[in-house]
Amino acid sequence: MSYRIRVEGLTKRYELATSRPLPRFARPLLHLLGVRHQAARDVDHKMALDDVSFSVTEGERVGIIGENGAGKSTLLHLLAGVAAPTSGSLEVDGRVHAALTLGLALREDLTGRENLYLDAEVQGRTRTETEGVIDRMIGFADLGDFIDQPVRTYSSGMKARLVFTSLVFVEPEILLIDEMLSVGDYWFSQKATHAVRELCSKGRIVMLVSHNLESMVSMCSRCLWLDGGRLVADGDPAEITAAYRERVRQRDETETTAKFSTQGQDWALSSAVRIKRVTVGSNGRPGPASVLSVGENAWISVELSADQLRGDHDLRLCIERLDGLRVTENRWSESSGALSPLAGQVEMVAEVAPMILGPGLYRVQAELLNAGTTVATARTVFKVVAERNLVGGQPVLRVPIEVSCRPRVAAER
Amino acid sequence: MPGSSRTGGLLATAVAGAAGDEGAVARSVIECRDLSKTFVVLDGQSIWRVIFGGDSVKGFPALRNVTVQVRQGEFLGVLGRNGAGKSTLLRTLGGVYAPTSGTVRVAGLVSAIYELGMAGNELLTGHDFASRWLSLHGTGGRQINRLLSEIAEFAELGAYFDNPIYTYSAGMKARLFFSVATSLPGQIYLIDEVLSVGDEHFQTKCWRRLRERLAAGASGILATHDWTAVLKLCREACVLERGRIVDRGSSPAVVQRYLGLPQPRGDSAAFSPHLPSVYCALTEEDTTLSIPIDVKVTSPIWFACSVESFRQGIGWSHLLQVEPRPVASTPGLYDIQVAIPTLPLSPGEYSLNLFLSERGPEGTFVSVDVRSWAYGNDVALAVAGEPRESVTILPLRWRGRRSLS
Amino acid sequence: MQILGFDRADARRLVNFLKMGLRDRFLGSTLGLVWAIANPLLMMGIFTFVFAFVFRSRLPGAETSLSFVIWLISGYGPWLAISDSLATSTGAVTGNSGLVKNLAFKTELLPIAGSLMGLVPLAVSTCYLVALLVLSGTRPSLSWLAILPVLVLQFVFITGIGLCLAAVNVFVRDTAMVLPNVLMILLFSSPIFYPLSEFPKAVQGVLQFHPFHVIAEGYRQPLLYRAWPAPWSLAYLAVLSALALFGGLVFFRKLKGYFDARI
Repeated sequence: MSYRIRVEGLTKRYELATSRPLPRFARPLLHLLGVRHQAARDVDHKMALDDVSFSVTEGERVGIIGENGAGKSTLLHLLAGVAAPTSGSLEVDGRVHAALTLGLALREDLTGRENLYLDAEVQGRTRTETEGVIDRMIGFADLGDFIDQPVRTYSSGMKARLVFTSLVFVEPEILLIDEMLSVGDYWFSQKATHAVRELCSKGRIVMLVSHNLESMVSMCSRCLWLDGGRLVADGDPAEITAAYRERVRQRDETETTAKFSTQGQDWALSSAVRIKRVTVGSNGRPGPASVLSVGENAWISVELSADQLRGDHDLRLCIERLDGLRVTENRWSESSGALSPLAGQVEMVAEVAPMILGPGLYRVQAELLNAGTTVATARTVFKVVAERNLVGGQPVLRVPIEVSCRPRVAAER
Repeated sequence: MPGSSRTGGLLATAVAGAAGDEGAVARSVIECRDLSKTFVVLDGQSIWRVIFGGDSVKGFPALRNVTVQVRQGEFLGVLGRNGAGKSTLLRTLGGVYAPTSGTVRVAGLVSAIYELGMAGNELLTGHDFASRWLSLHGTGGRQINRLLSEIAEFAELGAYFDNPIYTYSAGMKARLFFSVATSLPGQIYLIDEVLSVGDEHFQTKCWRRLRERLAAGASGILATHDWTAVLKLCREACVLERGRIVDRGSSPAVVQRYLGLPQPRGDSAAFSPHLPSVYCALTEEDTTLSIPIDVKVTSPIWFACSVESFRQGIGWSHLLQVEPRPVASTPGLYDIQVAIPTLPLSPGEYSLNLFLSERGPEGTFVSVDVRSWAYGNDVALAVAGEPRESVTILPLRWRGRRSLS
Repeated sequence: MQILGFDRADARRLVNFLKMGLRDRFLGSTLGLVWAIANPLLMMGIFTFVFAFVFRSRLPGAETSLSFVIWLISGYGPWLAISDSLATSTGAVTGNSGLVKNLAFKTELLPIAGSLMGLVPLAVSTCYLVALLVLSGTRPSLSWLAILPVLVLQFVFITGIGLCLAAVNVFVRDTAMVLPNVLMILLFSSPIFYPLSEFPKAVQGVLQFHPFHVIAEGYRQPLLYRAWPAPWSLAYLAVLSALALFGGLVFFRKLKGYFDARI
């Protein structure tokens, strides 16, 4: 008998209840007890799955990836028959075993061993059948002495092992696993991969949801990518997980970059003394720039506007990287004496020769200090680019390091 | 100076603040000595024996004579497989379990994430759950209100925040719980396996939040089987096996042993046994490092190196790097000179990693000898000078000023 | 400062647990709050109907059934509170396993909070009783406040017993299931539905010392007869309650170290 799954135009819509505020008369009393909202009647709709179609034939190991809320669990629930689709067709040929919620199948009072027996019984195996494999099962689960302790005392990783063990030995025709494998450790993942491959080599089908992309690649022969309920990719696990990772990384990067660039504002304690602007540029090109190249000679200019600057003033420059690493900090007073007296519009220029920062996004902040307290700040963001990346990693600094090799002089007498 | 001994535990960063008092030894904020925890499974009959007789009942030893110390500002990694006793250790340190013997001392407010399960009523809305959790942990009403909006935003639940938890997916529950449990600015974190759950985006957020807490001086323990997390967060680690600590030390070394990774050992070339364990340099000075190697073959040997530092919560960062280049191709003893102009590193200790390799098939490099933090045998680069706030120093010179008006 | 091994932080935590318990029990469902009021009223209404109109019981020497009903409710109200307290505290530890496994706190606080939840049915029945009293023409009087010491002692006593039951229930889960039956036996064996004088002479002497009788009388005297409860009975109850509370705390604390493997 061949097993297969076929899904056409599968759609699942959920109704979302949003809450209502509490009745006014009871509000004080209820607030006292910690109640703020009432679950309510207003209904909103959410498309958990939107027109998904694919088919799976025997022997396939299918992984499903996607962000939280993309519909992965919903898909498994529908395949397992736990929920019904809103529309579309679903054909499942074969006996389905699903591990959708960890621990639901386990009796907490019984030991791991007893649970294995019980589970086998529930699956319809006779006692003698179970006796024959129980030692292998216990070996597979690899729980040590814990196998004879009540399941109640197990950590979630151990429960996952136990459940997976009994699932594997039941030899399901179609096995659905929802995010359970992420709690297992490295050795368990190895075993699980091996077990899944063996099962599938016998023609069974395994579909699993996991956030652990590496295990996905090693365990699965095919990968489905769900995004917002839609199937956006279906194919080779290595390619798809790479694309997925890239997409997530890019999106996070855009978010962080945007935040980094717009964070904070230029500020001055009084309008009498302020920093008009901070700019960067390179020696080769006139005017300010927002992109610099690795290795060129760059400058940073700070324009001050002050009616009268007297007292113990100082100017501080800080350059920070996108990820928060502070790459340099410099004060005017360290090398050039006193800043004041100063009046009118003045420009202070610093040279960075060479610009040894590696590619990335940076923010330079200029602070005017009066006896140690900040009285004005200004900042600007700039990017550093390089023609090519270095082999072996992305260092923070790109310094022209010279390497030479000479034979060692003979040892001293 | 060549031959000077390395301090145990790996390298200090020059991150602001940490270099503060070099003389004083940081106090330990979490400490346990000879800690043992035995679980006794009682049933109907044996409880009477306990009540009247005392402790003559057989138990299951989950922890055996565990001694652990965590200093202020540090995170200790506890590695171990499922069932090794990591959760038990955390809960005992956190006060949820009482130790059977031994002592536990924790100096400060503990924020613990023992598991990502919801410890409560699923009829509660996300909002009420957060509120309840916070008040159970001793937070007053006004602070709760302030924290709730932060929690909602971090968890990214949108309108679901005001819906009962039973409507949430597993991922949403995890997000809610993590958001709530790390909302309090606790100083001591006991974290169990939670960083491996959830999608990439969520994990990035979790790490970012952890780094924020770390920057504010948090300390704690991360118990996990995920060694990559330990490498990112912890400088020191230990391994639990069946309730006992079987290995401890710097996290890269411990991880390497834990994974059983073999160190590359080639016969073609090696770093000389005279290789110093520490190189000294001065900040902002032209520096030349002399690295002795022995070459035994007539094929080209390639050299690469990097200077790295450990940033808690991020892991190892390359500060300086030398790409692989050929250095010698005939047998003999050589000195590789690495010349760094105007050393742009702040005073502190850094990890110098050295790599000797040969060209393999299709342009790959095959390692022949390695000195690296990944194997626990990296070389120290000690940079002396006036302490600075930033890790690196750009060659920035003020050129002068001119009047615009 | 520590009382009985609890400090101020524990007191705050107890209040939190109480708020939690009240919220979960009565506000979890739409009918929750309504049920908190309706259930005791319903029970009392049924008994009122049965004893006053079906059996037409009367107190010895009284004319109307109303006075019997008042007498009945004044004993039954505290009883409802007692059985509610016991039932809630018995399951307090086993039903909150998530908290016990994830929060560091003195586990004793859970059954104590559970016991205090009995204040809700007590409040409801007292209001009902006051309404009946006013209806029967009795004016409110200061002597009614004399129920307060009895109330406090009642809760102390029941908390002590609740602690024992909560601890035992962790290991012998049947306790929670058997409890309603035991309570039923106790209910019908104490002078709540029928006055002490209706019992066989031989038993009366012993039953006088039945704690539930003493408690019931402690409510009845002030509310019905404007009299203070007999000093000896208060003293007796005080001693009993103190013993129960200390005993319960010691018992619970001894066993709580073993909860870990059973929760």
